[in-house]
Amino acid sequence: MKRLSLLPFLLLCACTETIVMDPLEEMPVVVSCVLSRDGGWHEEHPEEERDYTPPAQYLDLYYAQRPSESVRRVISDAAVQVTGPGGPYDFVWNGSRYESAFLPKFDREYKLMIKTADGKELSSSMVFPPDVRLRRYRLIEHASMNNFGNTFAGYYYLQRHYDVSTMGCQWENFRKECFMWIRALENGVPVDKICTTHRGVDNFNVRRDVWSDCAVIDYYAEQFNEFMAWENSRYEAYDPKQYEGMIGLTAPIYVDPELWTRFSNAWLSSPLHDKFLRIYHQAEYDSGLDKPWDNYVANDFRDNQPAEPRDLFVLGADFNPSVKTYSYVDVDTGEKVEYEVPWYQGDCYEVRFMSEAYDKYLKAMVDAHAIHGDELSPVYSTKPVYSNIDGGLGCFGGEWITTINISTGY
Amino acid sequence: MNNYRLLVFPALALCFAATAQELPRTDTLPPAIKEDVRSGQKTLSERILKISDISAMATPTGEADFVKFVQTLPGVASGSDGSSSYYVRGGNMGGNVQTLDGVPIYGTSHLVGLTSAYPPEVVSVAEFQVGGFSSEEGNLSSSHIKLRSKDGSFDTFSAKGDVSNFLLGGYVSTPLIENRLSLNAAVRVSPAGLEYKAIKGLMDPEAVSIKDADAAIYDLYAKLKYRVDANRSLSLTAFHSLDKYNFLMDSGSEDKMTWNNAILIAQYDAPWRKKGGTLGVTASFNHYGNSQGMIKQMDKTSNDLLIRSLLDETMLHACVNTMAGEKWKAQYGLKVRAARFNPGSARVLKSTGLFPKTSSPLVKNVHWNVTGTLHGQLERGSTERSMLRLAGRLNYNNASGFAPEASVLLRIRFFKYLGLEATGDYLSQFYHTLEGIPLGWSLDMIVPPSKRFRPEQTRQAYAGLYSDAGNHHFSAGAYYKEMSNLVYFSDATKLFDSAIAGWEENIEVGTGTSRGLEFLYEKTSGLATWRFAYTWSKTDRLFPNLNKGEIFPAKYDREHIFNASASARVLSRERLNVSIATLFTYQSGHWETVTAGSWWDDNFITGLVEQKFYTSLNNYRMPPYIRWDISALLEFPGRKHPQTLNIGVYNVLNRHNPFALSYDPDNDQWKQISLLPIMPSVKYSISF
Repeated sequence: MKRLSLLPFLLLCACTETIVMDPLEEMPVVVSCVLSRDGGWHEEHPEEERDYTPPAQYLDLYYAQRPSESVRRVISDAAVQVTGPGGPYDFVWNGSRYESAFLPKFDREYKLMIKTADGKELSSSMVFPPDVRLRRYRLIEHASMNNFGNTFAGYYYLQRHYDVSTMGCQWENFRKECFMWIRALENGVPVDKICTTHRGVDNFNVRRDVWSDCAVIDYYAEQFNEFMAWENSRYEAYDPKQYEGMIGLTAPIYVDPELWTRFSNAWLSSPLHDKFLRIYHQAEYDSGLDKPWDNYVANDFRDNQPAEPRDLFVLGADFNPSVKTYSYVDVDTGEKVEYEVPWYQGDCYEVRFMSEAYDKYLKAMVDAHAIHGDELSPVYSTKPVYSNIDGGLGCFGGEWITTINISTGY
Repeated sequence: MNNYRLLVFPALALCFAATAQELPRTDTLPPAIKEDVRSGQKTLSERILKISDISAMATPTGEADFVKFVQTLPGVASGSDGSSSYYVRGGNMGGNVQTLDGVPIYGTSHLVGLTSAYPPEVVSVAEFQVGGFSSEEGNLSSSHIKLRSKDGSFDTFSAKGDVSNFLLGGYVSTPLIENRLSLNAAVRVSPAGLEYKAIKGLMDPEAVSIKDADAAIYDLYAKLKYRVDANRSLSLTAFHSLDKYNFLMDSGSEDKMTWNNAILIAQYDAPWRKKGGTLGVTASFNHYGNSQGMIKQMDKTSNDLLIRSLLDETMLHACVNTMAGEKWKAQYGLKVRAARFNPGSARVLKSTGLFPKTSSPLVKNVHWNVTGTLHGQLERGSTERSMLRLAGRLNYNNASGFAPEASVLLRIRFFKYLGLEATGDYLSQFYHTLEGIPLGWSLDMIVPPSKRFRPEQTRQAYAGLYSDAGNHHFSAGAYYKEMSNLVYFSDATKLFDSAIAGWEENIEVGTGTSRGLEFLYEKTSGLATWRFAYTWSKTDRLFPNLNKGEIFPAKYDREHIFNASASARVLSRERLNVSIATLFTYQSGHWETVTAGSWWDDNFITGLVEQKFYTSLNNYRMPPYIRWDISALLEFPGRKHPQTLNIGVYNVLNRHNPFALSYDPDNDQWKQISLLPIMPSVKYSISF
């Protein structure tokens, strides 16, 4: 819709003229460093029992570019150090960027100090994200079978679970704020459509279509509705054997027919998001985890709003599998019979828990991406880019990456 | 700046010299327009806006417009070129309120902000207040254009039609029951859509991405007034305006934007007890909506997305004017305002597909906001002599609690020719306007106050001297203004996309100050009218989360504003009168936030993305705004159907006044974007 803002120019014979502006004498230094712990292990194991190699951490350092500059001026002779638990950690120039290797600790503060050869000093600090993660997920399987009777699936019902304790619940600790960025990949490629009805989701990348626009929904709508209409019981919501006392957050979708109809309609009209979700789960979140889910459903319906389960329901891309041709020899006739089956290599969900600084920085990046190339952007009120670097620009952040791989291939 | 533009000064001098001829001047306003027009109050705090002041001005559309006149007064900075945006004594644009019979007109503009949504012909009295506000209205933080609607005639029929560059108008005033019931009605329709189609063939199709466009722009006004008896009357006023623009893009998608007003006012006036007191009871309903929409074909489904902002306001107001003792005039009353805000609601209409046609609310943002106001005012004296006005309001708002307001206006005439004027105000405004492009159009979202976004508050004081000597009037004074709970829509680049996301996340709350000196000289005689207005001001903003928490200048902090205007009758014959008018304006350039540089970041969501950085907010003052307009009014009286022809040239110098800056990396150049080149205008009207 930004195009609409061009209207006055189109109607009123806009004109432009060149003016002279003096560039700054010296450009600020830009820092880009996101400490990361990439999850590749099972969360069930305590951290001290895990066997891993400390991951490499990288830091980029360069001068910002003047409008007329096209080449980045990299700074290679600076002293870079991060202090924090187990540190300090010195970053060493590896020919293209600065590098160190260590595993950041959850919920702990790290400080960055940089001193360039010409005497500039930059500093920053951040708190690495807390130890929250997607604990488990549930796969929704459609009741569709291929020729061999195998089921295949295309939708994933993900539940985020705050794993602050390996045993039992500590409700107070559940009330931690966290920032999640979720991206769905299909065969390694980010999918266009992703959906949730989590109340904390940030809608700034909302698409202009809704969940029922997914082509596969048209095809599987009936089966899907049947599945979703299945009466869950509270026993499923609370399964001490399976989850060691953790209260599962499975939606107890028992509802009367009228309520269910409204739920279905609301669900199908939920907006889709473009390639990723950002969820800000506030510590003082009203609709926390310690209240019966169905209350919220009832309240949402009462307010004539789409139902908003507390669970994180993530829908991946349109169900658009590739087709692979197989053949077999009929034992009776000896003829070779060819048949086609859908082919799924598997989908992947990246869930990244961010430090607050990196969350803000990333959101600013998305905003900048949205208006890139818009010549009219200075006309609007302008939002300076987020930076948490004292003495420079950029971001010093942290992210904790959880990856969920779902393989449904043959 | 090209040297030829310096010609403005000798040209302006010539213009003034031409208008300074001693020529007789007669009042040419038809009787219906003269009705209720009081003598102009030439103060810097409140001023009567006269039809004769605005009808001679050259405007881009050819339409007379109160706002265009207001933009020439001291203390007022204009927004972007030719638009209806204006900023009074450092306030935000949203702090200005225009009311029709006490009811706010939220969608104030037509034609993408080039002119006002209401025809001046339906206004009997227009008053512009910037300080020492009277008590009965309120809910503003900067200025007030107070419009009183005109009654229809109770004894004679009259009608008028006019045509200008972009609008066709028809007006009628007639008794329906002689001396009992009258009707005053107006309709204006814009042929802009037809005009676009007419010139479409002249446009380079490669230069624009619009395949086709259409527009529906109109306003309707009607007022019925019933005289119950000599002292009692009942009136019913309806006003509706619509601006609707559709663009069919080359890509096949269709973009739409719309704003509209629908106002219904019922008013009962009656005597109040003794001493000539009056009681006015007003009930009104006010609907204001704006929207942007898009139709896209996706997956064989026609998806019609509409994002809109709605405000429905119902108001009940009882107000008594009476005498309190021999010398004090008293005014008091009660006003209750219930507003239903629905900013940034969105819905999707789906017309095909497996699922039945649905209208799905993506987002609803309904907020109910109720404000009760007790107001009272005591006034003694008159503006021509010494005067004191004490006004107060006690508001209770369901979202923000109690909020008192107070205003004082003092005028003391020391000597025959010299007096002192002082005002003080403590104001609250119970809504916020999220300002996007400063075009003065009506696409900005209006959102309610809340505990997080408290009502905007203004504390201001003004003191100055004034002198009236014959036809000469001179005022000079200084003001100081503090504003708090100002909102800064920090993500206006995505105004309507953000509407889906929830506008609350993109709002910063801060404060502002403004200080300035204002000068006004006017000479009004039967021969010519001169007016010179100069303002020096400094306005800044402070937002904890913006600009590193440091003060930065407001976008339209124009340090120097000078306006010179003159009008004169140059020919007066039995069947032809000719008047000419001119306006010269010089305003310091507004501020732009110009990027100082950029860097590229590669992240997992967007990939490689350029991030621009700014040394500070509003860090570059644009070149000054200079404009010269001239117009000529030809009147053809003494005929069966009197006619007028107003010919004007807006921006005679064809100066490319600055609107925005952008950097062209291909040519390694900064470019300045301008809006309006030289614009001829014409308006013809005929009366019956």
